[in-house]
Amino acid sequence: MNQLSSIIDDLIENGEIDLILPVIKGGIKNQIEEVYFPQLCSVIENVPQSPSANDIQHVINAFLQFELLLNETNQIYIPEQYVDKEQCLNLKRYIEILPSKINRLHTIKNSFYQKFICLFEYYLACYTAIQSKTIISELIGNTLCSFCKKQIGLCTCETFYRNFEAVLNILKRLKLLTKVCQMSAIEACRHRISNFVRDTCSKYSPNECIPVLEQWYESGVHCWLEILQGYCYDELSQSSQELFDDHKRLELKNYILECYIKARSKHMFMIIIEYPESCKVLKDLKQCIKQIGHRYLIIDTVKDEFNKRLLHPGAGTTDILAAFINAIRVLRYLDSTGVMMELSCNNVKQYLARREDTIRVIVSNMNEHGVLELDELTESDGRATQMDMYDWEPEPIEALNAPDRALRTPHSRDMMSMLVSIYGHPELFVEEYVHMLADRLLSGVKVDITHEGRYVDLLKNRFGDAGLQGCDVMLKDYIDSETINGSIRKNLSEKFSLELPINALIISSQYWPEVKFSPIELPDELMAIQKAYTTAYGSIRSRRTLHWSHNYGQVKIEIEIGGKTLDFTVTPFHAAIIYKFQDKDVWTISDLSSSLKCSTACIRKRINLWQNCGLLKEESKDTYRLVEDSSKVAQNSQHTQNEMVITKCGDDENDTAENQADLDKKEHEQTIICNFIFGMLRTMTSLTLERICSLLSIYAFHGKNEKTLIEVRNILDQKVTANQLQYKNGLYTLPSSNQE
Amino acid sequence: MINSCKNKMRIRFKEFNGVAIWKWIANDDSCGICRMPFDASCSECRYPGNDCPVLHGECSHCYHEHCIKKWINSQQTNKLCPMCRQEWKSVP
Amino acid sequence: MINLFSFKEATNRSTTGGDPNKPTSKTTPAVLRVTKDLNELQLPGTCKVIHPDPNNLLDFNLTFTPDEGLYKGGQFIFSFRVPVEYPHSPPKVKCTQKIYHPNIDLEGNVCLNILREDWKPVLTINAVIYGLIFLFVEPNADDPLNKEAAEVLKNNKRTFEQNVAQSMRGGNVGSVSFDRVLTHHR
Repeated sequence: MNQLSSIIDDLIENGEIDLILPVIKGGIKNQIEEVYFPQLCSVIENVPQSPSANDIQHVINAFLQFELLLNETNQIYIPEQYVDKEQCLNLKRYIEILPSKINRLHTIKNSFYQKFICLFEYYLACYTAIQSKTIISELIGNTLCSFCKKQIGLCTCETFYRNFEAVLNILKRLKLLTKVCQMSAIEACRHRISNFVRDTCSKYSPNECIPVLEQWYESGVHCWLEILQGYCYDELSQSSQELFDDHKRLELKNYILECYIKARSKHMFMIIIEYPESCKVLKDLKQCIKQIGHRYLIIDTVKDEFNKRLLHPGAGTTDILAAFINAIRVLRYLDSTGVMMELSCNNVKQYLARREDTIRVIVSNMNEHGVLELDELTESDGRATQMDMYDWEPEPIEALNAPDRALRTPHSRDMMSMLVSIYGHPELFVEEYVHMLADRLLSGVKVDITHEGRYVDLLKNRFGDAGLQGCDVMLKDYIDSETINGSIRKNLSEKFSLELPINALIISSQYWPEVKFSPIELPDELMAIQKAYTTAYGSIRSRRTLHWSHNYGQVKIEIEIGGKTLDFTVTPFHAAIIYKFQDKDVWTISDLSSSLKCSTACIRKRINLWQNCGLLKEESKDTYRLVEDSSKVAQNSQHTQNEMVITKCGDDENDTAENQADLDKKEHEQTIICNFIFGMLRTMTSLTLERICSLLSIYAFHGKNEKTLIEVRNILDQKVTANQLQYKNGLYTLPSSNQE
Repeated sequence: MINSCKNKMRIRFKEFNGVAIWKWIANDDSCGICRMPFDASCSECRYPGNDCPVLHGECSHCYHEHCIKKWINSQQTNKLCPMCRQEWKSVP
Repeated sequence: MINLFSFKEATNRSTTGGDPNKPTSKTTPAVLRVTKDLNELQLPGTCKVIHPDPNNLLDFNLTFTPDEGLYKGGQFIFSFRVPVEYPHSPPKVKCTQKIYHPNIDLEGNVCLNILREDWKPVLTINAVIYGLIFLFVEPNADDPLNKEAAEVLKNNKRTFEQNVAQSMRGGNVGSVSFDRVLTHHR
């Protein structure tokens, strides 16, 4: 090099520079084109898909190196003392513009430009960190620079960022800048936005974020794009096109909202649970949804999260209901048409409807604080609907997928209606409640009648008397039974030789949900005591008698086996079965059935209990043997929980196994009913469920085989699914093609 | 007997809490006047049983006390059983 | 079990208070009883019960198209008004058409013993309808509301027959014109 320099020196000295210049120019061009630039390109092209800070530094270094080489070349070929000579100035200018003349520039592939996305993002991160230090520290909650992680006062980002300016300058010299910007700047911004929102919103926080994010965008990303635009100005002014038009900028701004919904949707469960503390976040989300939609993101996560966290046996019904109510509130706030809520909460509704204690929890919370206040139940309607009127919005597009209209009808705005809608219809809710109350009274657990009475009254206030009249009688039966038990115990136990402590729940069958009587022959001792009690009862209540159901009630028994004494509380039915094993160790189901004079289906359902306790073992199919080793037998009396379970399995079931004939009969019945319904709809066009029921009960059932509201609804629903009927706004109609 | 069971298992009943439905002992299921079952109250009443008892006539016909009394009281002259038109006399 | 499909009026909110042993809902005993009666109707194909207002069970019409006897071919419509005292008072039954019948006057009042002196609360709507059917099979000259018709029936069965046919076509009997009650397809 030194030699070359001195030769050039000589040539210039001798005024023969004009001779040598083309050679020099060619040499330089060659050098840049064949060596420097390919070096730079190969570094850039080898940047991995997701580069580390080191990789990026490597690229930057390559750029700086490239610039350095250009400058060095300059110095090599033009010794300082000649810099001012005219030819040399020419040469300098030549070198200055040389990079943009490189032939290889035309062969650069798109993938090359895209390599700049990460580089740009990296520096955009640095830039936004510089521009919005306070905002970011506010969001993240510490005082470190978000880019270099140093204390804000010691942050070196500004120095660091200068390297990027150098890169921009080089690109500009290479006339690559505009293309690079076009190809990668917006994408870099998107990456940055997405990463930034993800980083800052990854943890749930009750604070409002959108204004801060927007500020961050304006002062950072937006300005940075302006700067790029400025760098590209020269190139652009020729083509008079704008690098980043308004449309692109708006897209970017919306992208912030999209990222925010994505990040926050992960917290939907938290937001719902924390409501109303989470209302600021909700405000953000509402704004996002309003501007860009993407409701499905929220709908999907709410669904998933509920499934994962709530809809399993481990979650308490109260918790599920509380979450459901909050979800309704939250989703209603986000979307006043109710479509989001409906789509998100359908699972919850179905699940709650299947849970046994749902009604109980709803009713017992009707007047408690927090969940459902009586005021809210009855009075909130007016105010709520008024507000909704100003807030009216058309239904979102997702409404097309909404399966159920009940939650959306205008009069179902208050919480109680929402909860009732779990059961589809107020009357069904009431019916469900009546069943629940009956189950509870029959279960043998101690019931606080005053409490239950108050609930019944509350329900009457809301739903009217009609469906609930039976409850009064049920509760009265419970109280009367206690009185009768007391007086029989006190005055008559000796007279009627009641040797065993006996209590009875004496019920007015007409007012209770159907009481099952599965026939079975009880052990003599139990038969005798029932008979004695019945006689005693007859002496108190003249001209009346008792029919005992063995499906309900509890017998407390003590089983002595293998030197151990175990206590059980079971239904009379269960007791009768195990009693048989005193006489014989091994029984088949059919032997038991003929010996107990009851159906095999009944036994099959109940014998499990003893098997589960470990007292019986199924030796071969339908053959049970008494277990000799009692060490593994689990008794149930200490655990009231178990008692409940046992009584439940006693009365829950339908003892008559449905055979084909029954099914056929059912189908036949259903066809008749359907024909009636179709006929009615042909004349009256549209009917509510209740009207259909009442008309059926007059014209179709003739007092026989009446169907409950639930059964009729099931039939109707089947027909709706089969497109033979339509359901809209609470009315059933025939599909238009069917209407003669 | 004890041997045959090999002292294996013995069951003792300690307490019985049963469920039973009560029924009127009557020669019909429902009241001919209001058509409600005897085990339900007449249509004027809320509670069945003691509050709405069943009255037996000497003619063997039964009615809700409230129903038959209302009918008998509304008749100026002949106080007849609505079923058999015999004179209504209730069995105490 | 109490009929859970009590009619809509039954589910209206009611005020509490009053006699605690009285149902507080508006389902009156008469409605309950009529509901049962209607549920248990067992009518021949010639009879049809229609509620003009399905929400009011106490008022309904009976359409009767006899398939035998002198009145065969006609269609007779009776209005039933069930009083709130039902079943302690009989339903009020009127023929809505002006017809020629010894036991039905020109205003439509019906003379049927069980609708008057022989009413007893164990009777049902079904029984009343059968009573009406019987009147059309066997018009009764002994207990007339339309005395002229009863006279004709007593004295000349043939003329009576002609008069019935004449009146059902909407013609005159004597100076009185009657409603046409013939069904179309005859």
